[in-house]
Amino acid sequence: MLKKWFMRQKSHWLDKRIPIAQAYTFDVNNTFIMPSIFGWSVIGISVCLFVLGTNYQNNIILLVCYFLIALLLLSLFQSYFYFTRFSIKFNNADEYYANRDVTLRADIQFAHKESFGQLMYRYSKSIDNVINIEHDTLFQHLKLGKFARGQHNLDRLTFSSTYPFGLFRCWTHLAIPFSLNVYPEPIKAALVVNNTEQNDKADAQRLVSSSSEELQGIREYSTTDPIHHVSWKHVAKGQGLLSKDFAEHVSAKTILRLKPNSSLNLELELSKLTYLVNQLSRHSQTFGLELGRQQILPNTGEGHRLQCLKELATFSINDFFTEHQR
Amino acid sequence: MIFQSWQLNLSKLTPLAIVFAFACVFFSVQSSLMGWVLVLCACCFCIALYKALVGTQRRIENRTLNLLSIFCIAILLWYAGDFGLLRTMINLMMVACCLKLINLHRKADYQIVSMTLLFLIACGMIFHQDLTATLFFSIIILLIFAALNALEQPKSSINKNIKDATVLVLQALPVTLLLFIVTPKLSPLWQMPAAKSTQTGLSETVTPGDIAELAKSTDLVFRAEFSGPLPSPDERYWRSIVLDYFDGKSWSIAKQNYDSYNWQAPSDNSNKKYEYVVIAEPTSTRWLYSLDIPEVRQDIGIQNIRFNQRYQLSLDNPLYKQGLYVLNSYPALALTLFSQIQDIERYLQVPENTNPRTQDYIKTITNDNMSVDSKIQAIAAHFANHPFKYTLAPPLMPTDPVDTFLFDQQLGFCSHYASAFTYMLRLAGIPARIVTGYQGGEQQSQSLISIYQYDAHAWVEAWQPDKAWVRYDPTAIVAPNRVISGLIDSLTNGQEFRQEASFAFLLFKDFPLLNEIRLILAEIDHSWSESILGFNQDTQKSLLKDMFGNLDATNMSYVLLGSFILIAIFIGTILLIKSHQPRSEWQKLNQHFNQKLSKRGFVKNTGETLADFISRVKPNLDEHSADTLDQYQRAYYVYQYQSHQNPEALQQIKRVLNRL
Repeated sequence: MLKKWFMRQKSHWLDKRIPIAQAYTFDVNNTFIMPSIFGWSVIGISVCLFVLGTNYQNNIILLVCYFLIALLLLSLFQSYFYFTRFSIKFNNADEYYANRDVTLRADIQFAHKESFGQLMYRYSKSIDNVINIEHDTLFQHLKLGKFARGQHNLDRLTFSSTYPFGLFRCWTHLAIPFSLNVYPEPIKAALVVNNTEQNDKADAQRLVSSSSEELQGIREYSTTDPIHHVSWKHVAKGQGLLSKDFAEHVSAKTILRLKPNSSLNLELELSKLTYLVNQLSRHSQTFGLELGRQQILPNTGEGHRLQCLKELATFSINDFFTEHQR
Repeated sequence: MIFQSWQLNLSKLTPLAIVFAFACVFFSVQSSLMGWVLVLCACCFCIALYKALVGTQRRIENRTLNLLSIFCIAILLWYAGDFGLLRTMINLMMVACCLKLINLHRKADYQIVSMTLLFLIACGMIFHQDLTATLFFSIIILLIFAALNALEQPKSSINKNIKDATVLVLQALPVTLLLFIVTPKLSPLWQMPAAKSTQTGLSETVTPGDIAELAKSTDLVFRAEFSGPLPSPDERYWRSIVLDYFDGKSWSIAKQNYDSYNWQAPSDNSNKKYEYVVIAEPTSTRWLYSLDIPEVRQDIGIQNIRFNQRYQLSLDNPLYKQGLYVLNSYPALALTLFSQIQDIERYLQVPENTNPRTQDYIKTITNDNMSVDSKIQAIAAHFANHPFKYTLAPPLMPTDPVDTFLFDQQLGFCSHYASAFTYMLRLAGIPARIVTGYQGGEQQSQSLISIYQYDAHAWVEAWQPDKAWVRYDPTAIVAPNRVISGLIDSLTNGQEFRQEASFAFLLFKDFPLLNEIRLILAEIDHSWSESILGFNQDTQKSLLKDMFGNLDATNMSYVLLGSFILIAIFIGTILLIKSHQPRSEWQKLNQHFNQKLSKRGFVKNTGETLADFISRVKPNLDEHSADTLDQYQRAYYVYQYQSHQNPEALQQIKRVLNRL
């Protein structure tokens, strides 16, 4: 109870302190710094050395003690300086599926001459992961762990560094500027097609496998063609880009529909549908999606696919029931 | 590149440096380690070295290690009583270090070992404080921090790690010195267990031949810095231990009485007086060194120096670290201070049934009617009239050593002469005793004398009823050079020393240039002792007084405040220099771009993307500039989404920027 209240206050405070942004540069406004456990131990050792040096009236030990204090002091500033050389930009270009490791793409820049940066990150309660920044890497993939299907507002992501000696830990909690749509995990399934014409004959099913596509001929490549339709044989011969033209056996209007009795194994059904959506899109086929009340009219293309996936991700069982009660 | 934190991706430096540092620390504290800890250390060192070289990740089960550590702690506690608190603590730390060393896997493991090593280094400093040891320790500390740095940037080269650590450590040094000078020095907070030193030195039991062993050592014993004239070489008898009990072979102290006397030096200035500071190296005895008759002007830190009936200076505990004390000596005064209260009879003690030939001989050359002076003359004449030789390597004399020495071998070192002479004096009824100490010393500069172990000497004091104790040096009869020009010139066979000296530093004397270097090194070592080791509350006060004038509480707080500000300025300067270093090429260009546009009155908000910014700015610009901005954005995208290291894209951005 108290913990919850405390967490709420903390996140509220953080929202004010480090507002959500597309890109972050670590600076005095969003950086925290404290001695690490090792740092506290070295502080403890310095105190011990002071006592030892004083009691033995040993100036060398006192010198070591002052040296450690001086080094702690310098290290404090060095840690902060090093940490504030980082800047980070989150990228929401990937697709995330349930039960698979979600890796967030982030563009992490490190503005430090000739130094190889090392940055740790942690999402919620997982352990610290280490990112080694090298100058020629474009994106860093941040592992966030596995998520359930649905739309997730992510917690803040913690970045930290203990450079140069591990004495101080600099860290920041960054809000990710978008919510994560986690699609159902694709599970291989056979395509069950209900043509719109035979709308009510739900049992009249026709199995179509993608292998039934027959090569119709070769035509000039157009930019909308999928890349796997390019006839590489011809490219290799130097005849330019040519596309293989497939005959479409499946009729232009396919509707993917959630089975009415699938409330018990809803996730499995959604997973199968996800697989089919991806498969059909790969073959540039026109299809629609019907999930209880929600209907997406048959269409084609990347935008359509993403819309369908989003619908699958956010679909909840309640939508389904209301449909049937009606 | 993502690594889970438990799979440390280490550069090879870290484990190797830690293992190496462990070995160095081991050597610096090995004298206080228990036998089984030595063995444990050796085993762990081998295992750790193997692991560091091969890079194996095989780990030892925690259960095994815990069992082992409980076992080790049990043994340590068992012996704790015999070893004292300090040594037990050092052993405990060493064992902990060993057990962690064989299981280095996580970052924290390395940090724990580093921390333990730092603490052990400080313990080593209790025993070794000279300049070379300090330099040695500094290098280990640097190595440890290089290893810690390598933990933080494992992708860098070893050179880079060492360089980074060195830069930071060097930056810390000025701050350290400032803190050292300014931080008030406190008196000991409580009494610490004494550290038993294993340094060699004079012993409280002398068997003729022992001092010859010392003479092979070129270790420094103490330095004396005079503020007035130096005593001449034949006056440099540094008294240390007085021995009065003879068992036929060895001399020892009959009864250890810790008497202590204060005496007031005569206040008139007519007496010859030497004022000097002694910086004594650690020693295994509690006896100090002084010229006769010493008056203590300043004690060693908090340890009081006792002055006893036998004109010796002593401490309550052996000197476990370098100590500095100030003395006045009055060489012209006779040793008559305690003539009333002394028990003279005990200086006539002789063992019966040993050395019969000497007993007979004394009966023939002296009789009860002779004066004390003539008795002494007669006995001394024996050394002058026979072919005695002064040598570092006398033959062994197992039975009746005085007889064998006086009548058969006639070869010996100063302790043989002193022993035989004292014995003969006692047989003749003259109270006598042996004084061991050092004689001579090397003059380092106009005011400085260094005394080494090979200056160890033994001489005789005989009681004369009218003059009290008088010094006789039978060695001087045989080898007068010993007293005037030191040991090496006085040896009948100069090669002897050369063969015996294990570390023939002294032989640098043969080469003028090397000798010059040796003297400079000795001078540096002396300044080190005086400035760093001798720095105490008094010197701190006088130094601060020299710098800032009279110090009261307000002034002192200003000084402290001022030094903290100085430290802040120092660190600030370092960071300022660092932050002005060029960032990456792209960031420099970006900064340039922002400057150019802000000159025209458009300032990019933080968090605003380049595209947003350009689309906000474009409507307010003329066609050419807007076009250039578009080109800039395109060039930026090309750069950003191809590769960070694409020089072509950077060139393009630069070209566009110039047109703007």
